[in-house]
Amino acid sequence: MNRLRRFLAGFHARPVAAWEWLVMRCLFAGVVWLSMPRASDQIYSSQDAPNGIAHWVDLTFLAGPGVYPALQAVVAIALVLYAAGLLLPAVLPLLLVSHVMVRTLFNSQGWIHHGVQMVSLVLLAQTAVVLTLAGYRLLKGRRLELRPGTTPASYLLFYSQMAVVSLYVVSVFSKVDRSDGLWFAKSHYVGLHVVKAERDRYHAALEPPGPGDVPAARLVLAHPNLSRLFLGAGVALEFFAFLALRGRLWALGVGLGLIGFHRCIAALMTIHFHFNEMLLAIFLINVPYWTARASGRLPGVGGTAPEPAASSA
Amino acid sequence: MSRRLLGKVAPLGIFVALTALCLALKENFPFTHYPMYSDFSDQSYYVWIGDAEGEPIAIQNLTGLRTGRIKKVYNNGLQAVRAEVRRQTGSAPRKRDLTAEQRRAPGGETLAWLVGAAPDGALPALRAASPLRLYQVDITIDRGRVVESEPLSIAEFAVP
Repeated sequence: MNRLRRFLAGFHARPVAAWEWLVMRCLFAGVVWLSMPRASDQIYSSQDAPNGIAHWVDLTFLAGPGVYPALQAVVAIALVLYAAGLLLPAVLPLLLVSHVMVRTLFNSQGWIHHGVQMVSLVLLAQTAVVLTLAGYRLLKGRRLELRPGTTPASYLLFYSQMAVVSLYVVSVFSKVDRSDGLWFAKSHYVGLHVVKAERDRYHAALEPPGPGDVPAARLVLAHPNLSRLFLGAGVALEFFAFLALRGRLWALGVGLGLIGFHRCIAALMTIHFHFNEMLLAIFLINVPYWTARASGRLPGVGGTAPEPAASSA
Repeated sequence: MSRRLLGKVAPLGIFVALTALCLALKENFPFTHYPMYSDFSDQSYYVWIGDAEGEPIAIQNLTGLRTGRIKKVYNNGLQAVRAEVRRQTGSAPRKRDLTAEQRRAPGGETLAWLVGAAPDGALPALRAASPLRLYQVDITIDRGRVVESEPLSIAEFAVP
């Protein structure tokens, strides 16, 4: 019982170096910018299949003359401020609303694209943290007392990680729910979808190899238990992704595992989740930290050293 | 209480709440429950776009729109037809049991959507290929092997 209690108590924000959070902010600002439509992309002037806030808000104003370029300029300035760590209680809600509006309009065209939800959810998580901290200070007239050794950046990172891993856990429940619990039993049918993905790839660009045998699909269908084992490992990885919240080493392991998982899916089915992979690399793997740690320039940061006294935000 | 909220009680509780929220809200941006490939089936289909001669067009190269996205639009149309049949008869046919006639309208709407969503620069090439045709290929597993049907012409659309 005590071990379980200790295990459960291990899910919390941890100390983060200022430079480390600066690197993450800069990289995440880049991801947000890349995940916005380009100036040359068509901004839809209708929302025939409303999704999310489009049920209540007409987002087609974004397609008006000069509106999207203006929004892009605002987002660019906001991202510079975000990367610099300035005015976060104002900048993060602005970025969140902008990203959600634009991407909701894109997802209101009769098809749902699943590549950028994670970016918006991380913005939502960070917005919730900064507004909670700012709201507390406003209401109580003092800063919120944080865990010993932590700073607001610790919470921004922790809840960003939570937004990332929660989507992997969600997908596991969807598999169980939508397949009536038969996902594993039917998982070797992935062979059919491998062929379908290959045909989609071919018809997108008519590049060789043309329609023909797909060895990976043949292998999967010929060895259903092997494919169940392989796909089962992927699902287990998704389910246990929440362990990334237990500390840096867990986050590193989960992050590397999930990127490997995405690479396998990309190789097998030509389905890419570039932004998910970027967020895993930034918030879970955190190469700059481990590089600095390996070179011995980061003594103590990471939760292994005794935690200093409580700080406030 | 506030310190506990952010420090002790909250983390796992918020994680569970966020996960439950995504499951409950399903597809409402930015929330998603990632439904793709959550139920593998032994039958499916894919679509491709052909020109007036029935030859495939490299549609993504031309328009930037993936065939998977085109299929989603077409699939939504088929679902709408199923819902309409259910409303009229009390039971909805499976997608694979829809007649060619029932598929034609969603197919035509998909092609119209494709032309509307394509960048202006792609329109001359689309006009040259007009009328565009939407083809569907059914794909199933039979005795451990993938079997594909002959392409079925669903609908055509003259590009204005």
